[in-house]
Amino acid sequence: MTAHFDFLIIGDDEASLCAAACAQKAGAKVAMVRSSKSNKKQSARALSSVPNFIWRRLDLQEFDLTLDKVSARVTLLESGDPVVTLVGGRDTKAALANAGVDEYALWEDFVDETAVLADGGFINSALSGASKDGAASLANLLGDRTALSRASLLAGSCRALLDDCFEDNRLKDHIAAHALAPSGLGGAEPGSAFALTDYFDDDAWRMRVAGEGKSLYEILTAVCERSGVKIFTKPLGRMSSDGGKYKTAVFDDDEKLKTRVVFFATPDAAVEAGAGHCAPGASIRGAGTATAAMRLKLSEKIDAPAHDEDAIFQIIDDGDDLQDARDAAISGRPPERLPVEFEIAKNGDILARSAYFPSVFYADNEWRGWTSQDRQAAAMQIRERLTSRLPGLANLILKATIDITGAVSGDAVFPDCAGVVVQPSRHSAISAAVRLIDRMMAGDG
Amino acid sequence: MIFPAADIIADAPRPTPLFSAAASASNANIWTSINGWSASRVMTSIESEYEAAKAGAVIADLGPIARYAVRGSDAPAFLARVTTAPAQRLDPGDSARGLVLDDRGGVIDLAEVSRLSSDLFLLTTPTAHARRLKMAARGMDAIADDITEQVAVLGIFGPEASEALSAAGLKMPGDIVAASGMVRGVETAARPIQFGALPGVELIFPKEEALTVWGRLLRRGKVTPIGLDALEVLRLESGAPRPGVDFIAADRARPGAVRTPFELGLAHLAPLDRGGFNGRRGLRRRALESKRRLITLSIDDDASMPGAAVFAQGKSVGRITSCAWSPAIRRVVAFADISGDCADTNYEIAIPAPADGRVTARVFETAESALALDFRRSQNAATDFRL
Amino acid sequence: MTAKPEATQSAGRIEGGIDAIVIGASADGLAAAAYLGKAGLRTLLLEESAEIGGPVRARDIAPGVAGVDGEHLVRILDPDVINELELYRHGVNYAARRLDSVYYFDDGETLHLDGDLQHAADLMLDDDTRDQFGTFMREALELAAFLRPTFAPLRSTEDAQSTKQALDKSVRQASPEISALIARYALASIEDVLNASFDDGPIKTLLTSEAAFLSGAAPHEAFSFMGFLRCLAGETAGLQGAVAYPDGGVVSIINSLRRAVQAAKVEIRAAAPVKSILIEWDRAAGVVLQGGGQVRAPIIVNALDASRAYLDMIGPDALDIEFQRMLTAPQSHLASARLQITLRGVAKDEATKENLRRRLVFSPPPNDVRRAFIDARAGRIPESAIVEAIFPGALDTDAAVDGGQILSIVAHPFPFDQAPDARRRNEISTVILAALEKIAPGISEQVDVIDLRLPCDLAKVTGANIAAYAAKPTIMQQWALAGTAVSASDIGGVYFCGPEAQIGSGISCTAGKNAAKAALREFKKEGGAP
Repeated sequence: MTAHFDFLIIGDDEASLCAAACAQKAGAKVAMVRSSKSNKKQSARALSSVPNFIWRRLDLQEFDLTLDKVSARVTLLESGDPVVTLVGGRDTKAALANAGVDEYALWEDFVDETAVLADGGFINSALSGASKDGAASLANLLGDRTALSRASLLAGSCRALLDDCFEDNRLKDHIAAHALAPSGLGGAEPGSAFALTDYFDDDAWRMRVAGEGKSLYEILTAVCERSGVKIFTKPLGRMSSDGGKYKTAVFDDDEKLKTRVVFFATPDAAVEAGAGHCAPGASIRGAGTATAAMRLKLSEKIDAPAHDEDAIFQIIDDGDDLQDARDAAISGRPPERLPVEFEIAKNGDILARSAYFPSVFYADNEWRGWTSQDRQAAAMQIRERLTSRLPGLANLILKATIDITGAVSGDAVFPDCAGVVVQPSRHSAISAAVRLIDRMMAGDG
Repeated sequence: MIFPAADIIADAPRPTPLFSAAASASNANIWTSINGWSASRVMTSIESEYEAAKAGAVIADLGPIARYAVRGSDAPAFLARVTTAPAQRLDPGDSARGLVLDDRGGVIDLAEVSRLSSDLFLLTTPTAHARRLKMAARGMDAIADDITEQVAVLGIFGPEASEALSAAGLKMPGDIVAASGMVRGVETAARPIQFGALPGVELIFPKEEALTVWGRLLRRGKVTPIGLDALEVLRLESGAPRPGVDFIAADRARPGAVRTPFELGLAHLAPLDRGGFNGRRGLRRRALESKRRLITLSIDDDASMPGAAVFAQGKSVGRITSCAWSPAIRRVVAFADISGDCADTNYEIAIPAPADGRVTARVFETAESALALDFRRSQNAATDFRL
Repeated sequence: MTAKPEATQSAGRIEGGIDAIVIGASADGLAAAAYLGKAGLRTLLLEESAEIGGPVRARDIAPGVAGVDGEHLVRILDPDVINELELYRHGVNYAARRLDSVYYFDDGETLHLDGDLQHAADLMLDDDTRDQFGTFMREALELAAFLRPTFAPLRSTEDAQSTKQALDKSVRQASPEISALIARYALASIEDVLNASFDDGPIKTLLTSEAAFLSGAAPHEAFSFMGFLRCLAGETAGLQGAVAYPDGGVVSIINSLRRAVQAAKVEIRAAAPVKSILIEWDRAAGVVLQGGGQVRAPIIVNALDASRAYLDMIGPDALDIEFQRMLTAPQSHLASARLQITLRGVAKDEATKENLRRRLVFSPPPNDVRRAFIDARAGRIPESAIVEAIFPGALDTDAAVDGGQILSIVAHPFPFDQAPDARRRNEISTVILAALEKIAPGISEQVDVIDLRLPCDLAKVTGANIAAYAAKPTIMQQWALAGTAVSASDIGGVYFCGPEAQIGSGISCTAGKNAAKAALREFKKEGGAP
């Protein structure tokens, strides 16, 4: 007898684990598929915030876990002082004034405005794919002028929205870099404005696990196991659907399970599993690019820019870099001026990342996959960008490793996308995943 | 001018220029945050401050309220657009109250406009509106400079306000005329304000001079520093709704929470025949509908709470939005947001456990509601053929 | 054109006795004026330039060779307007009601598609492709028909509700599959949808080009698929999604509209630019002419672009702040290029003669299309472009040129330039000619005169804002912009039927019809007796 589940959650990150644990605790039958390779990457990187309601539902206070908010968002432009924004309004005001940016009052209004834009909204529900009733919600949207104006602003470009609000280019570049870089989006594309609402979400502030202790990833794994989530740690072979309520997942070792819904807690998990094309509005999510994540071990800790070790840093020369880089990547070329984000791990390692690499390369009129030379070149490029902003870094590097995700690989496991739901948010992935799975259990879709 | 709701997450509020003066005058040392600025809630005690305001003169730090200096050849038209105040009809020295409305006619904020000179206006709003003012200035020759951070502002109210000012050697502007001039070498703008029925003056001057002016008034003028909580009692008695408490700004509110001037009892601040203010057409469409009403009540009780249910003829019709004990009437005065079709005079208010029951409440006439009533009568008398 | 020039105008003069003024003699402006006049209103049509027709005008591109600016094919023309304004009687006649298309590919292959897209699948040779294409086309046309009410411009503020009701009604009748498809396609890009439906091959290539060409949007970007559906929803000559060529070219639609306007006893005043619209107590009261005179009327229908209609002619202080903000449409980066070419020599063989009566499309490989959009948006002239070519002389013998051919081309995408220099214009022509070589190798040898029209050229002639001729924004933004602009900020008596009122481009006249009907309803309600 094949086991039946309500949700099959595919992914190996905190958002997937949270969604699995919350759904199981709320009474759903949940299975989870994690990649079989050993996982090191969850330990050091800052992750999206864990909102209080999830904390309460999973009783995370029972574990010895402290999460610290990332202190600041910093952009290192080609010249001039770093542009810094922080959690607190007063600190942000001072930091912006420090960088010579005199638009704090507008910044405050803009934060409020994006919250209003994000509230409810057709694009949100269409993106999550949780709502089946597209026609009715479109009818509602078209009947409501205010809602339609808001949707149209989100359907526009990030650049247009920022230009409408601010004069100061440094501030615009700063916001665009932090909002768009995680998904490898450009600022001039339709729909890129959507990333702004996600970025200004309260839960989008990243967290770091303080000190030694257990990582959130380990704790959530324990919570899932304890609450009865069935975890499979072996590769998924294929998915099939017989048109009924259930889809069948077959593992490489021929074990089978049936599920109502296949759920991806992050768009990256969907891409990794070969279901990127199932995400509605894949283009809004920045599909088509690969992400390179690099870890640099240093012989000694480096002086953090803006004197802040706990910040998230973006490196761009200018706001247009983001669109140029994306254009290059989806044309199959590595970008010339690569946007790179990095943070400094507690142990002094530098964790750098860029989502602006091609998922396939195009050269000599042919498409080809990643080669080891491409990986080396990518690593070189990220290193160069880092050294351009961190003088002295080159001499401190002991060891560098690089990991590419999102590159196009073999066969599509998901021939059709019925019953596949992909949570679109990257900034506030954990809370968005739990809220989405809640909504689905409540019957919306 | 009214203070808006206190900040929900007080994130280390900034000191206003008058902070150290107010802090040294504050025995109670209870503070809150307004628009990111620290504001003193209680100086000595609510009762003594309230009494001083009613019988003598009080001094308050009005620094947290947003202020803009507006210049440019289209400044009057700009102000008449972004607020409902009749800026085009103001002569130098004149002030007018108004509202900031969105395009649906929903109230975003209160506003006061003063014409300080032929080419300089002062716009005062409880909350800041950088983005809205910037959008409103598009296509017009007008610039609104946020001067909140550059100036210190204090208000002096009470029957003896003008004696206090002259005793301190500060020349009182005329009763109705705002003026800018030099006071002891300090460039100062002064404008008359009303806090409910209390006459008063607002002094605006460079923040560097904050302590000098405050000290001088306190020493020579026999004024009592007053905090937000006592002002809140005066506000409720005067019938002025507080943004963020008694209503939510229309540009932030969910659709059901948008309120028109009429629903807030402030229709007299946005007469439809008053020129080209933003939202007038939306308001005209909605003018006759009144889904909700904000009313002032006096409650026969010592301790009602915001959020308490309001009943009319046994049916729950709304909730208290703000309230305070009024020493003058020995009852609680309250704002209540109730259903629009409710026109009763008598209500009942739920009181929580352990008392668990209901107390009676009556509609309470205030200075503001009297103005609204006058306005309604004049509207009914005249037939506005332009509608 | 024989419009009466504005000779009697003088400063300070106030004219009265007029019920309605239409500003701008574009197709929509003409249609609105005809409706108003036909209903008995004393109507005045004011056009700033000496000629009517907006961007659609006849013009000699070479001595003795007449070309048509603006559009060269009819894709959507409101059937109600044709009937109600009796445009057939006023001279509209289709030389071809449903043009076949021939697609030319980079590798030299071609594919001929029947103009009836529903049956085009029958032409396919292998079963798989036929099934894929058939299913796709059926689904797309069904969806497009379902969405049709949403693509019609609104008539007034209240109409937002009636659109919703119309859609609600069809939602109730629609199958759950349709509803699910809308949720899936609402944000989708053309590539998303085509990749899910087709294997690589000529069908995918031609659909990528066709969809990107018709929607004007980059095939890899969000919302572009809905733009394509909008084009399929349009109706021409009674046929959904058809492409037609009228006798005399698209300008003949303008000419017939002008006859309808004249038959409705509307006074057309050309060379009479309007300076501002008089607003009194939030109601339209008339217009002030550039020359200084005033014309008073309670109804103003504005067919100019929204920025001029509202920001210039009414002014921000009479508009709501939120309204003004929504009008400030984001800057477009893309534009189409229009090229008219005269060729020496005529086709000799039958096969070529046959093709001359079709719509010829060069479909670059999907990668090249994507790259072209990327380049154009970044301000670079792309290496290749989608090119649509027709031979007016073959479709309509009156347009034939002795001993030669006239070739009419629309190509997309190119950067939206405010003022391109000669070198840049030259580059654009070169790209288009290179594409033509794929359609007809050696054609460059026969080229006699090349006439390139870009948005800035059109704007120079019509006086409109250049941005009005750029590619349209996403469908979501068009919906919002149309809803906003048509609401006229709720100023009484002002009605709008400028380019922003319409979803998508092309001559449709629906916006003009709707504006006039809304004005008439209001006029009757106010007690006006036409």
